[in-house]
Amino acid sequence: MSAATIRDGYNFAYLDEQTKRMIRRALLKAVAIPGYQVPFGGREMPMPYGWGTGGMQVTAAVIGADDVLKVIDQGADDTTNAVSIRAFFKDLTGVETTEKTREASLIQTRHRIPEAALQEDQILVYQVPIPEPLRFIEPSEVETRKMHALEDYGVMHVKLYEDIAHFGHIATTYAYPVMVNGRYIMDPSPIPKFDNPKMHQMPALQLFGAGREKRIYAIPPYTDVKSLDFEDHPFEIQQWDESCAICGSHESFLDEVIMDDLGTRSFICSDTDFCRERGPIEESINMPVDTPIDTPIDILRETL
Amino acid sequence: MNAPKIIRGFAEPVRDSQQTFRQLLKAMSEPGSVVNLTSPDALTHLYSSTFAVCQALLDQQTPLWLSPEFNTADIRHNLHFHSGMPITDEPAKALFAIAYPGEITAMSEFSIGSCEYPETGCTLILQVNSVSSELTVSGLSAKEPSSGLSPLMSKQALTSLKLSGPGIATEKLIHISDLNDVLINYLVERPDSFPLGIDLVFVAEQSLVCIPRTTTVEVL
Repeated sequence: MSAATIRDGYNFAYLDEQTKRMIRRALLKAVAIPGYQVPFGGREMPMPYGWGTGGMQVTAAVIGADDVLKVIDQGADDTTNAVSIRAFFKDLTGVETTEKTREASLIQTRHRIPEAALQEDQILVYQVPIPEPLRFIEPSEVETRKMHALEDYGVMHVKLYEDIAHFGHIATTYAYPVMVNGRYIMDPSPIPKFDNPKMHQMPALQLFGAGREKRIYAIPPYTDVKSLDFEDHPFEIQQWDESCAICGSHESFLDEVIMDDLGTRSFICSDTDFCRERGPIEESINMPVDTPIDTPIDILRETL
Repeated sequence: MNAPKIIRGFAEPVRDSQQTFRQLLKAMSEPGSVVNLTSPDALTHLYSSTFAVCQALLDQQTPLWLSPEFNTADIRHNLHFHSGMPITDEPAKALFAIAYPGEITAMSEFSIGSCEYPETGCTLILQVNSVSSELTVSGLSAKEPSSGLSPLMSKQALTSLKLSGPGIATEKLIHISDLNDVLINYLVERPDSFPLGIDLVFVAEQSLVCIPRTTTVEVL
């Protein structure tokens, strides 16, 4: 620990040592029981619930001076949530940070799994809003706990079946429930179902923290993670006819971006590091650099 | 009566507990991976590696059970001083337990958790002469184990175990010394069906290997 680089008056990684020990014990039990939500004494963090307090507490308990930290929000390194959390840990641990997936030893994520395949000894920390996959079906914690204990998961399939009855297909597109190691049904946090297959037999360790709900769960490396489905309605991931407007990727998860007030749309990679690594493809850039497009404000100015 | 001697704990508690925990996290999430850890001093019976685990994980919230061999005034005083955890006489109430494998007569003495709260199952820390993942065993060298070891720790044949399950890509081969029939039966038979069970931590003088309840074990 290089004390000089840490903000004065704070413990390394913000949390006190007793809190870290409590979270660490919960993490060890979480990896021993994959997919099971371990209750823990969640602390108040210096930001509101919903901004990743659970993920931050897990990161704070795990992070050490030798770690290289990457933080993403919806795949991007440069959005508010990611920038703030990265700055927080830089300030309070002094660790090196990176935007490159391959160089990071610890990645905290909100709602995406990076496109680049994760490696052994990397740790992925998810920010989880609602850890209980059965919560929208059964509001009682006493009941859902009993359902997990008895492996009483029929109702989850009924929910997916109701999708099919209403829409003709399973309409759940994010936080798509998974079965971990053939035992526990788990909420993978609101990642798009596009990312679900990456969780299966992933060489990296996956840790999940829910701050408001005070639950920690985990998937050890090389663990079976199966998205729930039916024989006649197998699990499918999202696909796009378009490709990324910047790098031309057909394989990555694409965000739809509105380009102007006429509703022109474009698609770009959600994973900014993946996109940057591939580099821009000349012909696929449909936005000329020299002639900026009129934004609604420009148009407004001209008319005034 | 001699006053118990207090030994040194971690040199830098914040850094060292984090590093010890990371080794434990790797060992628990990748069963069969041997990791290294240490603390400045050891006690009679208590390895510095076991002491490191205690400092990293134990506090006033974790009842600890010590087997008769470990239940000495020195060990109790030092663990109290450095960790402050309560010591329980009943293994069933312990979240953590420390013993030599030879002292375990029945695994049913320890808590396996409940179906609704399986995480309350015991973490059983067992001190052994050697753990290794290589085929050539370096742990059992010609040199005698360090002084002060119990007769229960006398050299026994290594048991070779083949592990598979979550955390293991295909399978892993490890060798652990001093295992008795009670432990081997527990690991192979798995009498408590998942998610219930006891998570085992095998600690040698400088290294450690974990076998959590999810691991399928085969004796070779």
